[in-house]
Amino acid sequence: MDSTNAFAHHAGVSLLHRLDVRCKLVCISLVSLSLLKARIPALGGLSMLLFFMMIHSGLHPWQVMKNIKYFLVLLVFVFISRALTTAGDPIYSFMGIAITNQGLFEGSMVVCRFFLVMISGILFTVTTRPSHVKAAVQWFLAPIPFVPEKRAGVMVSLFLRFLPLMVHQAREVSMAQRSRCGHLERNPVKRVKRLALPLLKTMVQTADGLALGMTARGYTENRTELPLKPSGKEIPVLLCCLAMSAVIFWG
Amino acid sequence: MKQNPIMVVDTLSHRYGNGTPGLSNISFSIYKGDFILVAGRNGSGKSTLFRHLNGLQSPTDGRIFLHDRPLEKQKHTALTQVGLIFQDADTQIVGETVWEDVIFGPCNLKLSPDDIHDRGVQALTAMNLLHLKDRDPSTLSGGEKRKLAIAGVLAMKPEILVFDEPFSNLDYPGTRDLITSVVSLHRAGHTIILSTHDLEKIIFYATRMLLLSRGTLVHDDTPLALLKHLEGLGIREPCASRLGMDIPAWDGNETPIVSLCERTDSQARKISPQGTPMPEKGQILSPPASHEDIKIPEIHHG
Repeated sequence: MDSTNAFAHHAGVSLLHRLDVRCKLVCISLVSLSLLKARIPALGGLSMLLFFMMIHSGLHPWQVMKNIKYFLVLLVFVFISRALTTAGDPIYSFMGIAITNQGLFEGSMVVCRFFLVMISGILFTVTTRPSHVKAAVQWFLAPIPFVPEKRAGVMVSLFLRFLPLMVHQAREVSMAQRSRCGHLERNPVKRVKRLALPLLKTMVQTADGLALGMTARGYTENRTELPLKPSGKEIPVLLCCLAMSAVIFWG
Repeated sequence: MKQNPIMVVDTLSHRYGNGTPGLSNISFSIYKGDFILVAGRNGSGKSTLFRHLNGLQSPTDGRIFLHDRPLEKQKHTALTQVGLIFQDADTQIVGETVWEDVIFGPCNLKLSPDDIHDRGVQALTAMNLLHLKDRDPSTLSGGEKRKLAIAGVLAMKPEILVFDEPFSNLDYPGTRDLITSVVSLHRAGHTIILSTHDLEKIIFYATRMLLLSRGTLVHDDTPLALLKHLEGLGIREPCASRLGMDIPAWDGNETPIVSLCERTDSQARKISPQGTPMPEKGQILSPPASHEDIKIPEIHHG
């Protein structure tokens, strides 16, 4: 996938690239949980940390913003709904609907938390191969009885494989429609329909082709899995992450 | 002494889910060392036939035998013994790096990590891709992707290699490179079956040609014997043949693997014989028929 796609794995040698995927999964879970309780200083600190990690992992923040612009629109809606529905001191009211001080503050906090979780996820996707995610999912699920861990692992890795492909295909379809002045259509429902239908068709065809390709090469769940190789820095990273999450959660 | 066929396709028929016939009553045999071209217009059933050869699709009627045993009883063996290289290389590439893609097949065969490593290295070396092993396959050129798809199949050590339209969407250097790879694989002992619309590129090396039309096998003979039947089936006759010249190797001054007129499969059936004379052994491929009907277009100057 192209290097401008923030949903695809990018090869690299940064600390995040080298860390064992199991460690990264635990860390991202801890950070996401602690973000639920994070206040302004913690959010500021985490933002700086994640910004530094983006740069260190070779990810350009501007490219990330461009890739998640549709999610940012979603965050704007979340902010507006919070600002309008949280009770408190009204700043402005119109026809019984009031924007409150507390609403603006809570809305900003929620948006900030969502945004940081999203950035953590992107950092994980960019620095981790889907095959490693598959191996990690299998490793975590293996001790749980009656759970088909290999199948679950393949499903997760295929989803991660298809996510960048979907973004790429959506761009292609969008450009093809722009070249025929499709962007002049002002009705958002029609625009979404025109984008979604060809995209869905392409994705189903691609998935079908991939399944056939895998079958042709004898795919089976009981295959030789190559072992994950820890970098040796997992323990210190885990301890740091644990301490940071504890401070944010209970601090 | 005559050798046994690797594969026998016996009165194979296939109907699609909606009842449309895909293949009708197809019979032929594949012998070790064959280089078989399969030609036919779009929708003639080439890809459907290929998917039957490694058990991806099952026949509605008829049977396929692999080493004298019915294929339906050894589907896993068929997948490893008959390596199918799809028309769209992207379909076949499942790994996130060249290396991960090549070892996908050996991992499925439950081999030991050492064997998997050895097979991966051998396959990439054979396709001259070892230096790209850490690359993301999506960043490869069209020709490199096609070679990666072949390497992925080679790592499973198949006996027969089946190429479905391998030259589509390839530029000139990519096509030349691929022809060299296919020919060297044949010289290394693989049996090759290859479908193409553009016979000019590869006919020089073929030892046999099957012509399909509307799901039916209408001719099975040497390429030379079938040259004059191509246009009637919607397949372009090689330009040199139309002009009454010898057909050269597309990628330079090569020599054919086996003398083009030498029949490697003496059992091959000429389903619709047209009386084309068989050439002498060692004769360079050239059109046997008269060329009175060839019309050279006028060139208008100015």
